[in-house]
Amino acid sequence: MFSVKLTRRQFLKWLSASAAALGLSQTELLKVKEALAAGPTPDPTNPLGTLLRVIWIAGAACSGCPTSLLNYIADKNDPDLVLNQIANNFPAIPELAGALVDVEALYPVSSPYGYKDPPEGDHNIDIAEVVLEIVTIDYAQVIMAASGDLPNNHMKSMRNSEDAADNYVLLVEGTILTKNNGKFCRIFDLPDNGDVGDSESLWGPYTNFYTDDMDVNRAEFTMAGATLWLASSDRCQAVVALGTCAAYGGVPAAKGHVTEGKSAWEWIVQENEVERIVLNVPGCPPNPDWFIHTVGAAILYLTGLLPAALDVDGSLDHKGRPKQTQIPIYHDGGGYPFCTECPRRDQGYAQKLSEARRTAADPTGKCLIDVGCMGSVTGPANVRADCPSRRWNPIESYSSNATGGKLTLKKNNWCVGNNMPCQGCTDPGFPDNNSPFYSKAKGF
Amino acid sequence: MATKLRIDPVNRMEGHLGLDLTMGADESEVGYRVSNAKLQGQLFRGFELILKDRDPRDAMVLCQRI
Repeated sequence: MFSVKLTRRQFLKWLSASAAALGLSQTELLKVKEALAAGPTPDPTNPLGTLLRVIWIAGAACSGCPTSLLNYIADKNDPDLVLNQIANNFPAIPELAGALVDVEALYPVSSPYGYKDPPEGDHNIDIAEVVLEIVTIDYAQVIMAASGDLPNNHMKSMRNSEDAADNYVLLVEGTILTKNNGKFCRIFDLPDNGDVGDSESLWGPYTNFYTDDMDVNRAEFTMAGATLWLASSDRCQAVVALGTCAAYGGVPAAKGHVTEGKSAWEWIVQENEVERIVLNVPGCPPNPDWFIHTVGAAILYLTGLLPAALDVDGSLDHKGRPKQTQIPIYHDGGGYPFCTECPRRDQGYAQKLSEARRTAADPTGKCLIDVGCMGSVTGPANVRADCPSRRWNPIESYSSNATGGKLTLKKNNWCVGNNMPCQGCTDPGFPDNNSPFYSKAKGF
Repeated sequence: MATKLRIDPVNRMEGHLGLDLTMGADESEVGYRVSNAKLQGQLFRGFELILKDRDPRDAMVLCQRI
């Protein structure tokens, strides 16, 4: 068993030295020590505390989804109900207003981290606050600080726990590869003390139980096995399928594959009959707003704080799968063509990709329908998100002077605006239904 | 006495990577060094197979997802 030998005294000394280097005060240092001692537990003063633990596992993924999420900045003027509530600290819900971290109180103007914001200016929540204050991500390979058996054992203890305080939401990113018992995608390896099941378990065929050359029993989980292991726990409250890969199969499941990639709902609920709510957040990658909306709406709905936030619709979609949510941001099957809000409408038609560019002479740009834009294709077989109005890559610009500062939020990027015909990346059929991408779209 | 460390997954990087370290001696002994290291790339999606028989310009879109 590998361990670092430091006495408590040495550790505290090291901590003080680092703190000095980081510029932390004694009070903040104390908070760090307390946090380390307490482990990753949700804030008990947050009324949503126990619902918001997340175990995040990634299968055949490209990490585009977490990369996109890192761009989240809340917009206080967002027209969407749920996002507006989150950005403004839930004014419609008195139990939550004020329960979340008051950043201005923590970092007053006079402190070294003084966030000089005028009282009426935007004070946008960013992804760090979501990840640390609103949600606790207990396990996520791509962002967690710990490695090896430590985080894996923590995940195992949550999964096996009998305590409702360990309830979690399983977040699935990436396609679940199922060919050859899932061996095309292996995701973690942890000690087997008789507490990870065996070859007879539901996940048994997709897991390698072995003994290493130091005679330690270990279990190596594939994505196929890990999704079943984590979803079948009593602690797992719901599954969120992040990105088109997890929601519908996506690029690894495209024609020509040999790996038999499946979506989260198909694998967990349909094939292996583990009954859990599955929330799909399609997009390749999804706009961070869509994800925050979905998760926020689910939490508000499940806690009864805002039942109107989520319309859990039990009807089936065009592929016979339950549509777990009706989210206006996605306009699912509702017939929303981008054209209604696209500035390129009626500006002439680009016949080749080279004509798609915006120029000084043509600053808006031509319509891309003849070079493959999917934005106009709507209907039950397709899903159209709100890209033309919501847009992407928020840029915060902060200007300050002696008396204070002003924060403005600009969101102007989107595929079509950047001369790229819409690829239809929220579609269940992405990529094959929309391929070839630069030829006029089929089906309209 | 040799010891072994397995880190799987390697954290804070894109993709799936497993690491097996063998140390030739125990940490309290002289000569405590990595004597053997093995890395395992743990994901195969087969993009080259997916690209076959498609319009070549589709590669621009599909390979962004690698």
